[in-house]
Amino acid sequence: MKIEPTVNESNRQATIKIAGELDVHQSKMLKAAAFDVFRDGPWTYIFDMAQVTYLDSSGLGMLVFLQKEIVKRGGELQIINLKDTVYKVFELTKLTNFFKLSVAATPGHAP
Amino acid sequence: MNTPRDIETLLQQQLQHGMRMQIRIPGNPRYLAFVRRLVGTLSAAVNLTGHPLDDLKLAITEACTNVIKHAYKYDARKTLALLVNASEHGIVMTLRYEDPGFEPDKIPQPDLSQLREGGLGVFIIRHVMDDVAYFCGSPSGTVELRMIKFLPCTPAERPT
Repeated sequence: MKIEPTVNESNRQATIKIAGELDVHQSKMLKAAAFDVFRDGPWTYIFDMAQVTYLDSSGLGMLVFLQKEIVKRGGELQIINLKDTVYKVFELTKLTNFFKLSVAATPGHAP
Repeated sequence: MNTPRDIETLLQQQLQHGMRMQIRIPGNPRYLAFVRRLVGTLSAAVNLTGHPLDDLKLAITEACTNVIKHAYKYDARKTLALLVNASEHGIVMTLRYEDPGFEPDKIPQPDLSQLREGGLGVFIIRHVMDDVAYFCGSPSGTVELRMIKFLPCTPAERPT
């Protein structure tokens, strides 16, 4: 798994590009990377999951945990560029109702 | 010692002689990606790809994760046995592990109207597989979880 965080202090925006498979083994790495960029206040965090090829309930659980942490600090989480197979797991568990999801309208991605 | 890549190559050779795989893995989450690859290799041998294959990978990972987290509590000295049978009718994945006292009837249904961090594994397995059954109650505490995915049949194979 590969994680690339970028922080823009002036815009109060942090983007984390995630690549690989987000299961129970890998999700701890995401937690560590996210906490490295978390700040208190109205920050926007963008998780770019264009290169995430697998997500399960453990990965979802970590995303729920991180979203709660972000909201507690006064920020907002956006998850973008989900592939079909990954978006399907959000849909299956009805978590589409709780996340701000933005999906690319290109082949291989959710509508 | 064989590396996971060696084992995958051996498996591919074995698959030419029969669509059956049995492995034993340590109760360590680092092996989950390896298990997904093995299931993918076996499924490809019976032309099961795309979303049905995604479902298989999701189900086997959820099942193994539950065992590692809840039954074994991350004790990597304990092992899980995975048996996969693939045929033109479908894939049967059987996971065998130790969990004395496990009662599948007591697995709670998740409340999907609430934001939750866990408790979704069995719900997902039941949703993506065509048939899911737990067999337990043996004196040794062995639990067997059987998950079946049927392959779509062609019109000629469909019963009349």
